[in-house]
Amino acid sequence: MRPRLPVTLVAGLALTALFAAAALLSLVWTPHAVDVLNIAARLQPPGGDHLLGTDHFGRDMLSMLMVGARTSIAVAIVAVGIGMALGVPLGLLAAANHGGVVDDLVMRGNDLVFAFPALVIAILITAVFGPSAFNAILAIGIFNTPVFARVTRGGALSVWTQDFILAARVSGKGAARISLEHILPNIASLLIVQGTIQFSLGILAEAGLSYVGLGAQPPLPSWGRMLADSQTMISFAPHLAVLPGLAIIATVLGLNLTGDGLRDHLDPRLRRPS
Amino acid sequence: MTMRRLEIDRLNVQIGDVHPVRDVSLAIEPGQIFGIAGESGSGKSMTALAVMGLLPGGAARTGAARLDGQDLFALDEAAMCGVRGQRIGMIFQEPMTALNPVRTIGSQVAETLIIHQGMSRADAAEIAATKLDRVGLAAGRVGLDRYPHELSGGQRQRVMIAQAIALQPALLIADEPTTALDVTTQAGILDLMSGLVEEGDMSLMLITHDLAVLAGLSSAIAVMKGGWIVESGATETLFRSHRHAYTGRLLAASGHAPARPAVRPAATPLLDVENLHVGYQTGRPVLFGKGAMTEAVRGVSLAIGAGESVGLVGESGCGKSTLARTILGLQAARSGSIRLGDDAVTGGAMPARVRAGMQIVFQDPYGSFNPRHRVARLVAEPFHLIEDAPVGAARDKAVAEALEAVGMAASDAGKYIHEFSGGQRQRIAIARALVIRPKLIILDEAVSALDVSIRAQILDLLAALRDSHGLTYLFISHDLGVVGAITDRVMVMKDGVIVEQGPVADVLERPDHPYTRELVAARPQIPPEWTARDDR
Repeated sequence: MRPRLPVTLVAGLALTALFAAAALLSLVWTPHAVDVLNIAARLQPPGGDHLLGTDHFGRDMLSMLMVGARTSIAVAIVAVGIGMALGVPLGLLAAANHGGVVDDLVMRGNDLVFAFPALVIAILITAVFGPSAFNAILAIGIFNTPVFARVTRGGALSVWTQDFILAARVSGKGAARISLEHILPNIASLLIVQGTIQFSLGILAEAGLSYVGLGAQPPLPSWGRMLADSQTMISFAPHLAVLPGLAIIATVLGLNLTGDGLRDHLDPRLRRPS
Repeated sequence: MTMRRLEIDRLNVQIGDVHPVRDVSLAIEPGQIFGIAGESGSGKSMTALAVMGLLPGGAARTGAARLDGQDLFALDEAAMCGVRGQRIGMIFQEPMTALNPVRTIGSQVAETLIIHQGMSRADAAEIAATKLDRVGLAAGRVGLDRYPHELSGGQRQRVMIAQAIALQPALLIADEPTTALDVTTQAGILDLMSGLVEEGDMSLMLITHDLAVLAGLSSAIAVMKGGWIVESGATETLFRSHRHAYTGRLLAASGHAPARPAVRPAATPLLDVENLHVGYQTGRPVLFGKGAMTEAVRGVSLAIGAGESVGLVGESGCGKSTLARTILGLQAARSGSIRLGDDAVTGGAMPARVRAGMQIVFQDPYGSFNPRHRVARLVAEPFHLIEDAPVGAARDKAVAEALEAVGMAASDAGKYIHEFSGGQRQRIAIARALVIRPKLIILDEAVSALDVSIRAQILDLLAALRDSHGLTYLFISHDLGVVGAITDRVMVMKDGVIVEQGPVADVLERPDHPYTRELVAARPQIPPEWTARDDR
């Protein structure tokens, strides 16, 4: 009997896939060019030639949202990648040295990063190196690192107590090899779930940074900056604020549902006998 | 007609396409201890859960269960809540998880009284104290304000019993109440339960896989297999003249001892341990200096000759597992020496060649394999120790040979470990230990988690392999019976020290040390004259 996929997972994957498809499509085709101004057609309401209307420069909102999805997803993917690439090895290292000096160093370093307000540091980084999508990625990535380190260490510690680890040690395998061969595959599901959750947080963080002007710079469209630009026009062109806002909410919701669904699906302890 | 305490009438339980309980009927008299025996998956626990109305979601039950004439299956959930705890008490196998870790034992026993009888907190605490006193946890010694983690496994099980008998239930259901406990602790708990039945009007339904436990305790037994009761009757009659073949097999398996190969003690010992001390840190290191140290092994010397099979018996916490890990070089000794053949075992960075001389088989057939790897990779893991290990087809062949040597098929190499039963996994674990042809295999409670009939097969396999592969065993167990069945010589360990050693028959029949005597006496046994039959 094939295990049935949970509803949350299907709904989450569908939402996520929708935005991923839009982002991919924007690489090759958008309904209108996003870098061409058309003042004659500015502030059109949704419908007609421009399906979702136009902004104050006459740019097509649908095209802007599609390219914005690309920006958001690219920033979040790379940021999560940085977090995993740094955090997972640190977590494995800490778990392998459980109770030792290295463990303490890694975990106290984690506490240190956690102790800083993430957004303030992100602002600091962009203030020093200048605002750009790349610096936003870096800032978000750095704050993903301790999250992954902690999750990895927690999961790895419980795997380390299992008998098959002892069997591997009897076979003369060292900590590094055991971590890669035995620990990592057994905490992969944990990391995937955490990855989707960090992914949605990354999209939120990118939107927040762009909103205050520290993320992606014009002319590259970004959901956060679309929101910021629309502020002054919200009374007569509400679609300018509503559409990117909805896009952010739907993507984050989709990713969170995916994360929850994956956890239920991948964690055998939560899986009901079918 | 007198009223039965519990009468189960043609009980059937169905979960999806599975029928864990089929047409089970039994009757328990007031004040009777009734045993239900069976191996895992026989439906014995499901029968108890069905009576309690605690079946998992999606399970359907038919038939009837009457407690003092009242049909329990006709009651709704609210009424059943009044029956549970008040008229039927239940004790589970795992005393570690059955108590709430953040509440004191006194309040947990009192809680039952407060819920069911609406007692005031003070009254409930008073009765809780007398109940805990009755189960051997006198307030003067243990205290109501202790937390579960401050108690030993046996003490926790006593708290569970106090909780179950707080309201003087008519029926107490005990599901494997002593399986997780040491033999001496088990004897105490069994004594306590039979005492409670005698002094009250309580009946006890005792569910266990261990026929020997029932032999000394229950007046009637039902033997279950595959959801059916295959045989039931008065205890002694059942043991003496079991009509069903399965009962006979179960009895034979529980006392099974494989034929012993002739012992040829070698001139030089294979394993030589001298005055070994091993300690480990119990506390986190403090700012200046190390944390608290516990000495688990305190001056152990032992020698095992090549081809010998030696048992190491002791209860949990006696240091036997630490000793095994030190011998394997997984843990550094504080002082003393270990030699395997001509090589010193040092722990830490030890030459792979020395490690390749030893392998281990663990107790838990579920935790000892990486669930993400296929059997071929699992069994081949020790090849890591060998410099010119076979690769490709030669490696596949070696794995296939090891699998076939333990009675598995070569084609099993492509499967994942969850596709196998506990007994099959233990065979694969032995194949993994065997694949690089080590001299010494340490068996750490290797058959303790298995059903008796599977255990008998694994013991046979171990005996055969010892003969065919010229293996030396160090067999670690808490179970004197199993050790007696497979080893030539036995060592008894307590508190990090070996208190007695000698040939198996001598130690078991004429124990010298008081602790050994206690161990031997505490072992539940089927009276030999009950099973004396010449046709088996």
